[in-house]
Amino acid sequence: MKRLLFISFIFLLLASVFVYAAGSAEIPRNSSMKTNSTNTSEMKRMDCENLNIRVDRIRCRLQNKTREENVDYNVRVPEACRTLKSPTSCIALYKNVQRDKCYDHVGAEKDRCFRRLVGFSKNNTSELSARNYLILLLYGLEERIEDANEAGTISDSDTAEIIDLIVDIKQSILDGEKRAEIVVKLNELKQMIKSVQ
Amino acid sequence: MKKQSIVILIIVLVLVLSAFAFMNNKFANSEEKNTGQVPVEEYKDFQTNDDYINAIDETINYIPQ
Repeated sequence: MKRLLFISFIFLLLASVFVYAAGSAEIPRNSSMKTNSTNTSEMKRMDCENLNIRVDRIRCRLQNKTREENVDYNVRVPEACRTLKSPTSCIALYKNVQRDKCYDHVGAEKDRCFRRLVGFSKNNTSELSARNYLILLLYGLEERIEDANEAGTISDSDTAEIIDLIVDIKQSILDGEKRAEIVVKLNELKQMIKSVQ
Repeated sequence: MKKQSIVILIIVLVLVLSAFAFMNNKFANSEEKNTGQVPVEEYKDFQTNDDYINAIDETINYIPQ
């Protein structure tokens, strides 16, 4: 009898601990359940990130007016860095651009900001700095396409297709692909931009 | 004796200042002397999509074929 009582007590104790742990555990996916405390834009953002296909995520962000330069890269990994084996330096590049507010500059000042950030200059045209500079140039182009979309010049669908290709090119550059492979995609991008202008 | 000390002090001071000016000038112009000219960085004036595309086309040449 005494033994049964002891076993029951242990069982009750274990069950209590389990219930407490289950109740207090915070699983990221469940955060969407906190509907009451989460504002609508945050909900929309989370919905976009849950989409599996890249172009769908991009279209979703466009529809929700989530511009790349406003993204918190501590929370969301930039699209171009997602498929990399070691995305640390890629994420750092995006964070540095945001920190230095390169996208607030216009014209030559923007180029100066880009070049300073990646160390690309007449004296340093190393492959790494050139690849990083290309990422920033493509990002600048992406920004212009987003501006045109916001102004109503380019549809959400066309903008999503163009940005998807830009991201694809950025991934090729970051993956260390050869020039010939990148140029093919760049030519496709030029055609695409020309067709919507 | 006192007058002599002041003269020596002035000479030392002039020598130190000259050395400082010489070194300063040497460091400032070292790049110029090495290359023959001061490298001037030219920045792209990004105003249109084509400005970005042209810059991309130029930069892609630094990626190995």
